[in-house]
Amino acid sequence: MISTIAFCLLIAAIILQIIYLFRNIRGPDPFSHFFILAAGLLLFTAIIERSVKINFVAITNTYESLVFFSGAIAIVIFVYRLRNKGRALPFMVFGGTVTAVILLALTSSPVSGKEIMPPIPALQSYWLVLHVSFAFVGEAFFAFSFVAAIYFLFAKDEEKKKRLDRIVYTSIGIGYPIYTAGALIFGAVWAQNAWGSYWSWDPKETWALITWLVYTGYLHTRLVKKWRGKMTALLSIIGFVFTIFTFFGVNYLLAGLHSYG
Amino acid sequence: MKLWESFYKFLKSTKLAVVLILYLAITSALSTLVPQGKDPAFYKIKFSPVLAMLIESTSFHSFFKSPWFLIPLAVFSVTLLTCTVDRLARRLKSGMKKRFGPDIIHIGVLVLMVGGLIRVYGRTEKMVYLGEGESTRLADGYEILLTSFEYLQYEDGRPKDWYSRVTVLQNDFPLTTFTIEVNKPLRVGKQKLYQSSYQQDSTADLRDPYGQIITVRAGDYYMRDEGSIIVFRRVEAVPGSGFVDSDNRCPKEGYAVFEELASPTGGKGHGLKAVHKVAISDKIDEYTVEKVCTWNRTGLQIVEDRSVSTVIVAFILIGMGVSLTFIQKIRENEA
Repeated sequence: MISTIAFCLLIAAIILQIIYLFRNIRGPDPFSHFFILAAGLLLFTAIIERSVKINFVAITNTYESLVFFSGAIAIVIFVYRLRNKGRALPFMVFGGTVTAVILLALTSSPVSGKEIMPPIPALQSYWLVLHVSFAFVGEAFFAFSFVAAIYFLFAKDEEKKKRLDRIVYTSIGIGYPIYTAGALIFGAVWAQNAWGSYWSWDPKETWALITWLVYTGYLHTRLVKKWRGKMTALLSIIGFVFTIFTFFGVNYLLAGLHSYG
Repeated sequence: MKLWESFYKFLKSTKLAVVLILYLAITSALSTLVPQGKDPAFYKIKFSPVLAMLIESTSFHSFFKSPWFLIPLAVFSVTLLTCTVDRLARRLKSGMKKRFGPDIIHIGVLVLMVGGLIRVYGRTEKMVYLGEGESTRLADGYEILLTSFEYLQYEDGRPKDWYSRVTVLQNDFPLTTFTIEVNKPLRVGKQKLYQSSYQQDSTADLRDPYGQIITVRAGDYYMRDEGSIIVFRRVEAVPGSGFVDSDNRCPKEGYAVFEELASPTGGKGHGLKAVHKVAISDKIDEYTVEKVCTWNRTGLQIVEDRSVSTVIVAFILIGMGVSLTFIQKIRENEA
């Protein structure tokens, strides 16, 4: 129910943004980011509500992960909009909101499993909570960089391109350390504690590492080789495609230790 | 000298590092399409004969132990080491900004690789299954005695927790007691014990035509005739029927489950012919089932891994390097 209200708020935000975009008003609309903030907070409330019911932090299955991921993206959009005030790019806010809505819409898919279920023994670890939450917060920034990179490829105005390139870089710059800590370090510590093996070359681990390597490649090409523009935007897009594959594709296409979420 | 210089230049080039990263990423991605570490027969069943042969001949079924992965990884570690040393030396010599975050990350990744190498030679693991009252010897004169094992389930049948209560002994002298759970391993000397799985054990008491009681365990069998073998597999208890013993192992109502297999002398191999669920007091051939019992044995993974401390150091370095880079970038942006 709470997630449905959040979904409606995000849709309302999108409608408001579309009206502003079509009326060709310069700058972002003045209200939709409050809807987005409310949606983000409601999604985290939904996680808290489920956590109370199962007596553990409820980010242990695909449904809960999607709600958390979508909520994190909503908060990232709100912070971007708030920090940039009237200078925020309306298409960035719009693209971010659409991404959050798509992820939230996936919670209605039969494969995401809505049932509130307490976790199996391996998942009853606070290292897992750190692993999942940090990874998704990092991925929320990657999602934002993905939107900026797509926008970059279609933008014509050089000044706008420069700003978008900067957004891609800043988002990855913030997301990368959080993702490194969550997906790789906390994940390895949890695996060591649960199974006595910090790394097993399980498909999900391998794909998380590949995703990390792509973003590592992005940072190196941009910072060391001083690449700018199309190539780095494409790397950022590839990085997010891999992020999504690591999240969904591995669960449903490749068997492994992480098949629960 | 020139040759050495150009080789050094080649080793520290970002281009080489990026190409190696790309190679490692692409081949690792491909490796996830092939289930790793299975028996050769598995690949023959799952893939076409040509593909199965290709997988085996290229060692793609254990890709992360194959030269295809290890050699480029070794070259990458040399490149990373060269880059790190070169970058550090240049920064220390010149008056460049002291941005050491990336260097610390690179050193962390190198330490991580050293950890990986130690793991190849410094890790042992073995699995033991213990019933209550059973023990197993560990290194350095230690011994683990299982005092009780509990398997808790949620109402929907999913596992909730496993509790293995153990006493640690050294040279037969009890030292301490501990409850091993998933995510709560026990350290004993250099080894760590992890709650890994469990196994169900079953016995059935059968009365033969002469009135003698024979206790059979899961896996025991007898020849029925030339055509088949009867194998005792497991016990199925009737829920809520109560128990005949104080340990709640032997249900008042339940079944002994036997499988009837085609005898190899029948010429058709060990194919399953039928499953017989025989209730207490009922008969299978001339044997009457008198009592059935079932209990769980804990599955403990005993691990000794000398690489863990190196890997922890690597994680701390990577974490520190990433945080430092992040903080410095924010400060630069604010300035």
